[in-house]
Amino acid sequence: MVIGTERRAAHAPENAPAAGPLRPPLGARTVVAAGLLTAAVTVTCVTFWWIGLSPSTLAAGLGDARRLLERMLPPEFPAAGDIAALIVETLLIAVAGTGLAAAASVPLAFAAARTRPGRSWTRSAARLVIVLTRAVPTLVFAILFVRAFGLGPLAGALAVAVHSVGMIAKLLTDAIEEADPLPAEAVRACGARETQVALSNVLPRVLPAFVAAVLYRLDINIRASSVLGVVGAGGIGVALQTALGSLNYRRAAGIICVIIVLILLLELLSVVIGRRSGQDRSAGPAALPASARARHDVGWDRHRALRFAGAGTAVVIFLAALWSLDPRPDRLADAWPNTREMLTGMWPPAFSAEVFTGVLESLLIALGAASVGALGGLALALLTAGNVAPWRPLAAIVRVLVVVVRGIPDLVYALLFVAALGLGPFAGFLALWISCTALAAKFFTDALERLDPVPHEALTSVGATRPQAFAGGIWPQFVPSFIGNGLFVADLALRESIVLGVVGAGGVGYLMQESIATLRYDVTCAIVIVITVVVYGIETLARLARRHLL
Amino acid sequence: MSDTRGEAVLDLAHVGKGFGGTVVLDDIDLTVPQGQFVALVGPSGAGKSTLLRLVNGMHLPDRGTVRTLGVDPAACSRRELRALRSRVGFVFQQFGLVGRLSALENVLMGALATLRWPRYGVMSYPRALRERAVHQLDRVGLADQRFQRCDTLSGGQQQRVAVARTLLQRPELILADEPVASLDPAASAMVLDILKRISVEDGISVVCSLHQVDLALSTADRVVALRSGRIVLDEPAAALSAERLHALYEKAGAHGDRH
Repeated sequence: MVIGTERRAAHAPENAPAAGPLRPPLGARTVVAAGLLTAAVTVTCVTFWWIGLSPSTLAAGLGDARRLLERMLPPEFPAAGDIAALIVETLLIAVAGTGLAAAASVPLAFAAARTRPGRSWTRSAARLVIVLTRAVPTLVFAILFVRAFGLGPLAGALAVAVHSVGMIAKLLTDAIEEADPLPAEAVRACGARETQVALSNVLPRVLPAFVAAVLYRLDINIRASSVLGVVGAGGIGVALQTALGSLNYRRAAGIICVIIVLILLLELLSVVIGRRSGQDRSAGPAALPASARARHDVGWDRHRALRFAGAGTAVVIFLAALWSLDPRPDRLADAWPNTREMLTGMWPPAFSAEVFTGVLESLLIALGAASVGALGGLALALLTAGNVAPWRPLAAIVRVLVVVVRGIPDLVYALLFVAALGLGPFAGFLALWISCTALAAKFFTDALERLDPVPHEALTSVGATRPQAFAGGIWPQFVPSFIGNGLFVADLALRESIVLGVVGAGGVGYLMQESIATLRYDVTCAIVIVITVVVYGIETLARLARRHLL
Repeated sequence: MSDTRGEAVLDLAHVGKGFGGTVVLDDIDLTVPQGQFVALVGPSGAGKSTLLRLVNGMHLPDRGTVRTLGVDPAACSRRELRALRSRVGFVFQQFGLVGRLSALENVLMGALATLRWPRYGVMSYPRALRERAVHQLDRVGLADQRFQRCDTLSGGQQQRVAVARTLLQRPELILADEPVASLDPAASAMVLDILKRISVEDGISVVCSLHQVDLALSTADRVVALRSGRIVLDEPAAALSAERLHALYEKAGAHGDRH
């Protein structure tokens, strides 16, 4: 039958009426994409209405922002010694927190992985811990831990640790579940215990993924710990908060500059390390080294020595960081009554209209900012991505700008906008919009540059104009990653918008901080529960949408 | 049918096993005395892998009883099962090695059952074990490659590392599930030769599933053929001709094991 149709088509004149329908059937992908687009537009409109955005408020806001900028210039830098101490404290918080999280995430990930035979309630419990710690932002844990352990970097490091556990453990769980089950089965067949199978057989295989996850998280945590000081949990954020609190805007600008430089250096370092480790991987395998004379000796070669030294240095730095937090037993013991009071006060959770309104406002700020930010990010990505950029010098400038803007934590933008425009969701929306734009620009640029160049070349070679070649050769390929990355930006924005209220930039964060300050832990607990459900729900929706699109 | 050099290391009586409604093994009776090399032949899907996994308790039978080294895996606690498995070596078609680790560390994992805690890195294993592990690698001809990452070894070398790992267990019985199915002819002959030598030198029984008829005849003391979950032939290898075994395969093909 098919052959018959083809033959007829081949012999029919070109303008004869076609045999079949000319409109392609509506696919599931089209429906999902259209649904997401409609949702984004609707949510953005609702957000604009909620925060009272109009051309006049926007113009007034810009004027306020300009006046604030004038008061910030020229920046005034604190004494070099003070600033160095604060930077070191910031780094130590991040290192200690990330290290603790890395250590804790190994047993958690093995408990959560579906590969292990055994009781399933431990698996469910481990999965719950991962979801919970991932959903609740670092700053929320910081507020709670400042209550329990007092002001200072110890609370900050613990907050970083608890929130990071969820992400590192999730990535590790994924790696464990993707690993080949056969080597584990082979050692089980030798009579090994489950702990031995996990640590001696599976862990060596997932180690590269684990190290990558920990380093990635360390990068995030250094950024996060630079603003923990806003709630008194140590680091350079303390100085920023003090400067803004005393209306010393020039000092605040100086500290922000220091934070930017710190984060740019980090960015540079991660690029260098990424290049180095790439080289190491390409080096060939080691043959039997001459030094391994004794038949049971380990063969020491350059790679093994480097790996060993690297791991040793990392452990030493981690222990030093831990020590610097001064975790004396009596201090930890003092925290116990506070913690117990907090935990007993949390039950039963006090849900109220205020809680739901707060979370709704956070959700609107996040989704609105992500939608508008994705659009702006797309525009920037089209200017910077190597395969579509219209003008290289402009691409380079925009690229650097995006890195700088992305380097500044959202909370810093929020602090500035609150200072300029006053309290409220408008400040939070603008702060999140800026960071979403930069984040989306980076993701989209990377995605565009990874596309297959052949379709674009093919269209160009048959005489398509630049816009035609883009529309046919690039855009269709790019749509899935546009939507996927856009959803990811929304997911991240939601976690951030929850804490913006801590500095008065709208959303549920303000209520959260107030509830802890007034010892209404039952309200705190209700907020945490609602946040977890909403974050997990959005994440699940994003995952489903991605699965139907990719 | 089988010689009586020693006590039975393996005794299956009326064993049946199914997965989700499909019968994989049906009424299997098999006794293997000490020191015997048994080749288990039959088309894919005949139940060879399942039979081997019933022996070391990776699967449990639906019907009948399994006695491995005098122990019933179905009646074992988790600890007893681990103890039994440490006495039974298992060689996999796909080796089951950790590619990122050295040959030596992979061999050392065979001795985990004798150690209390997890180990990480060659140096975390006791020195005496390391010496024994190198000795076993020497037996399979790979002592010089002991610090080489396993994913840089050839398929035949990897399977020999896996055999050395099994030997480090000091097994009383070795089960091998298509140990040479992923290897080229030269490497296949070498691996089977090593298994045969171990069986003769150490007096260990080997139950090895194979689908190459000629290899089964040249290596084994006894050939057991399975088809559709039943034993259809069980004879000393010396009394068998290649034609009779080939006929078995052809019949299986005609009966449509392949649809």
